[in-house]
Amino acid sequence: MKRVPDRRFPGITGFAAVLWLIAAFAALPVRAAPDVPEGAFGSGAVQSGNARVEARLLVDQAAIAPGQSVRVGVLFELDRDWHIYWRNPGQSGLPTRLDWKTPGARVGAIRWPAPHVFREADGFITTYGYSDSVLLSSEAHFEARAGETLDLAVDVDFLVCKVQCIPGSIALRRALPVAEQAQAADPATLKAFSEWDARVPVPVEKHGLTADALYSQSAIRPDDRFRAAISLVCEDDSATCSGLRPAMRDSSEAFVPDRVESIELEVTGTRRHPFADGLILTLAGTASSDEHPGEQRLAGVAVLENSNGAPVLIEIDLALPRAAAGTEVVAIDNPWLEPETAPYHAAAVPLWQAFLLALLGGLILNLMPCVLPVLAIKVFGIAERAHEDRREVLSHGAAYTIGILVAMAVLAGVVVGLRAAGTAVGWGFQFQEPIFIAAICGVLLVFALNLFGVFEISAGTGLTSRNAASGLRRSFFEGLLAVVVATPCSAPFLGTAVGFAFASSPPVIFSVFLAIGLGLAAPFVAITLVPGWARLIPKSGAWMLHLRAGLGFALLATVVWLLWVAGRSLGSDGVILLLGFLMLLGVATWIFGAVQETREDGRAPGTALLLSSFALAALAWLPLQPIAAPDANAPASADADGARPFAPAAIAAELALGRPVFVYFTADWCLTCKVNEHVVLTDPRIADELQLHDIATFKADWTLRDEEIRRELARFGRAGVPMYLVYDPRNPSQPKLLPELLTVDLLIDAFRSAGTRAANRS
Amino acid sequence: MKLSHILLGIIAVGLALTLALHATSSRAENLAKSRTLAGPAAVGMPAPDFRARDENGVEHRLADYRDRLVVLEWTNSNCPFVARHYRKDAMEKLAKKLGAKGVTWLAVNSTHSNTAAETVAWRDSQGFEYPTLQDNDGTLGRLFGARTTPHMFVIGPKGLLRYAGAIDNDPRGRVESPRNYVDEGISSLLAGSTPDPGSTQPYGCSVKYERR
Repeated sequence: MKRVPDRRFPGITGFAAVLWLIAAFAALPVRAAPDVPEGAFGSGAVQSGNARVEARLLVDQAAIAPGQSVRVGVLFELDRDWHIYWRNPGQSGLPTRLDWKTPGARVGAIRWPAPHVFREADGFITTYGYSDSVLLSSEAHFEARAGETLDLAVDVDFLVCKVQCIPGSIALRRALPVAEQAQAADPATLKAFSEWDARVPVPVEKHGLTADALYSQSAIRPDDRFRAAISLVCEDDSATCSGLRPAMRDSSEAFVPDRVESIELEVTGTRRHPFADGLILTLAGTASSDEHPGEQRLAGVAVLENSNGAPVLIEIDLALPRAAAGTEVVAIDNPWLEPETAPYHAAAVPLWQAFLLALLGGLILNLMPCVLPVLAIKVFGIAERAHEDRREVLSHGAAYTIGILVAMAVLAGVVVGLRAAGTAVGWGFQFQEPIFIAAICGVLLVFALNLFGVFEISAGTGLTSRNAASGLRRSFFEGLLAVVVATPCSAPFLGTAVGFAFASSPPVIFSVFLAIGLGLAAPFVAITLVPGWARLIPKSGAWMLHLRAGLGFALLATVVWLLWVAGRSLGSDGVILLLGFLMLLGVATWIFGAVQETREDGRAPGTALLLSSFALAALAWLPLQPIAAPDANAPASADADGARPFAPAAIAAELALGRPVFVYFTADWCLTCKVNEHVVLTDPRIADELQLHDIATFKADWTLRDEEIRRELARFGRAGVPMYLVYDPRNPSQPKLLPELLTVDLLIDAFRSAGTRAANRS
Repeated sequence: MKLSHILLGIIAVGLALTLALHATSSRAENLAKSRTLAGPAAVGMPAPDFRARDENGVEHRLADYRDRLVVLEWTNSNCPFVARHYRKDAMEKLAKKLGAKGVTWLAVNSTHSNTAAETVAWRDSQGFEYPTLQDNDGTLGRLFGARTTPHMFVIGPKGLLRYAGAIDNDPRGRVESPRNYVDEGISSLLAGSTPDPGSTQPYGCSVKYERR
C-alpha cells in the first residue's frame, strides 16, 4: 500500500517525522497483501488525493471443484489511525457491509473477527471496529459444472474514520474457473485466511465452556435500569478454557456486545467465578422508553485468554427477557451482578507498574514506626560484624532477605489459598485474628528479652561454623519479623500495588508480594554490599549494651500498641489473658536463660524444645474471644465526630434525602488511619464544613472481620484500609475516592464540591 | 557504586513512579467523570436545562422555550453525513415546515475547533435561518449525551425529552422514501400521543469533543 505522508501535520518536527517514518517502515513488511486479479482490487474513501481504504477480493481456491464450498472474503487495508466498523459500530459509525452478487451460489454470513474497542472523547463515545487490516470472510457454496467460469462480485460499503469520517464504497469482481479437481490458492492468500480465521470467535461449546446470563430482575421493562452478569464456566478438562481472564488491560473491553434494540449496554468489569473455573462478565443496562415485547438476545463477543495466555474468542448468544411497561417483575439479588473492578479500573495498572510500586512501597516501609525497631536491631547486628569478614556480613544480608521473601511468599500463599477456598480477604487481615496478635506479642517480647540479655540466641564458645550458622538463622527470623510487623503501616504506599495483586492471578500475587519484600530488604542489603557503609558504624563497645536495651524497649512499645489493638476487640478480660500469657512466656525465657548459663557451650536444646512447645500450647489454649457486641463498647472517638456505623441502606437513605455523605474506612490496627483521624478528621475546620454542608458521616470499622466492609473496599479496587469516600447526592453511584494520605484542604475541597452541588439542586 | 548514585537513583525512580501513578489515576478519574455525564438526558425524563450562546452571541435557555416543542440538531459541517442532509436541504425544509407548526429548531455544534465565523459562513452558504448554539467545550453535548452528527433530540412542551436518536432510518442515504423520525415524532406529539420509537440508534460521525 502506498503511504503518502499525511499533509495535515503542519507543525510536524524533524524528530517526529523521523519517528513517523520508522514506524511506517516497520509496519510495511507485515502488509504483504496477496496478489489479486485486476478487478478484484479497489480503493475508496479518497481524501486529499489519498485513498484511505484498499480492498481485495480473496478466494481460498484458485480453481474450485463442482459442489464444493470455498471461503471468499474481502481483505481491507487502512491507512494508519483510520478504522472501519464491526457489525455493531457502537455509539457512532456504521457497520461495514458486504453485498455479494453471485448467481448460482449461496454465500453465508460474514465471519467477523473479534473487534477492537475505540474510545473517543476520553471514553465518552465508544465504537467497535478494525484498524490496520481485516479480512471479512464467508463460506460460499457453488452449484457449478466443470469447465464453467463463475463470476464473483461484491459491493463493499463502509464508513472509515480517523478524526474525520468518510463513507466509501468499492465494487470488486473476479472470475473463478471450475475444474474437476479443486486447486488451492497461493500461499499468501491461504495465510491471510488462516490468520484471520483464528481471530473469529466461536460458540461457547467449542471452547468446552458453558455460558449463562443472570439479570437483576426477571424481565426488562421500558425505562428500567438493570444489571446483568454473564457467567462462563470451563467444563473441559483439556484446559483450553482454564483460567479465563480478560485479554485486554481494561476489563471493560472483555466483552463487545451486539446492538440490542432499545437497550444500551455497558460492560462494567469482570470477576473470577467464585466456585468454578471460569469468569463472570458484569454489565449495566438501560432500557429506553420504547415497548419491546417478547424476548431479545444478549449477544456479542468475549475477548479473553486462558491461563497459557492463548486467545479465547467466544461468540455469546443468550436470552434477554423483556416485559411490557407496568408489568410486575421479580428483583434478583446476586453478588455476581455487582461491578467489581470497572468503575475505578483498579486492574488497569500494568503489571510492571504495580511491581515497581510494590518495590518502592517496600523500600519506604523501612522508615515506618512498625519496622524501624527491627531494622535498628539489624543495623546493630551489622555493627557487631562490620569489622569482621565481609563475606560473613554479606551472608547475613542474604539470610535476612531470604527471611523477608519467605514471609512474603507465605503471605501470598495464604492470600491465594484463602481466595481459592472461596473466602476473599483483605490486606492486614491477620490483625483481625486475636491469636495472631497474641503470637506477635510473644515473638516481640522474646526478642526484647533477648536484647535485655535474659538469654542469648547465638552466644557461647562453640565452633565458629556452628556459631555463624545460628547467627544466620537469627538474621533469617529477623527478616520474617520485619514482614510481620510491617503490614499495618503499609496502606499509603502499597494500597495500589496490593489492590492490584488481590484482583489478579496467583503468579501476579506472588510477584507483587515478593517485590514488596525485595524493597523491604533493599536498604539492609545496600549496607552489606557497600563496604564503606558498614564501617561507618562505630566499633563495638559498652555503647552497644545500651543500644541493645534501648531497642528492646522499642520492641516493648510495639507490644504495648498491639495490646491496645487487642483491647479494642477483646475487652479488658482479653488483655489480661494476653498479659498472663506474655508473663508465662517471660518466665519460660528466663528459665531458658538460666539453664543456658549453666551449660558450657551455651546451648540448651532440650529446654528450648520443651519451652517452645509449652508456649505454643499456651497460645493454642488461650481463650481469646472478640467481645460479642462491639457496638456496646463503641469507641468515644466515633461519637465525637458524629459518625454512624457503616450501613449501605442508611447511606442510600441519606443520599435520597439529598444529603452529601462522607464514609471513612478504618481499623484500630491501621496506623495510617489513626494518623489521619487524629490529624485531619478531628480538625475543627472539618467539623465546621461537615455542619455547613449538612454532611452525613459514616465510619466503617474493619478492626474485626466484616465481609460487607471488605466487599465495599474491593468494589473500589482496595484490599485494605484506609479508604475515604465522599458521595454527592446528585450522583450517588459515583462517590469521590480520596487518597490514603488525607489533608484538611483535600477533604474540605471534596466536601465543598459535594455540598455546593447539593445546595444548588434544591 | 557510590552512595550518592544510589540515592539519586532511588529519588529518580520515586519521581517517575509518582508521575506514572498520577497519570493513570487522573485517566481513570476522567473516565469516571465522562460516564457520569452520559446519563442525565433520558427519554421520558425532563430534558436538562441549558444556557448557551449562538453564532450571533445571543443567549438561549431551554426555559425560554417552555410551552413549545424544541428540536435540537447536533451538527458539524465537516461531517459527510451532515453535508449529505444539507445537500438535499433536508434539515432546512423540515425546520421550516415544523416552524410553521410552532416548533423551535436549534442546531448545536459541539465540535471543539468550530468557530462562530465558520458557523456564519456555513449558515449563509446553506441558507438556513435557525440559530446554531456554539458548544465548543462540549458541556451541552455531554449533558444530552450527543454522540454523532447528526443526533436529534425532541423536547416536548412540558420540558420532557420525547425523542433521541437518528434523523431517519437511512444511514447510508440509499432508501427511496426514508422514515423521518423527527417529523413523525412531532406529528405524534402534536396529535397528543407519544413518539414511537422514542429512541433510535443515531448514526453519523462521532461528535468531535474537546479532550478533557
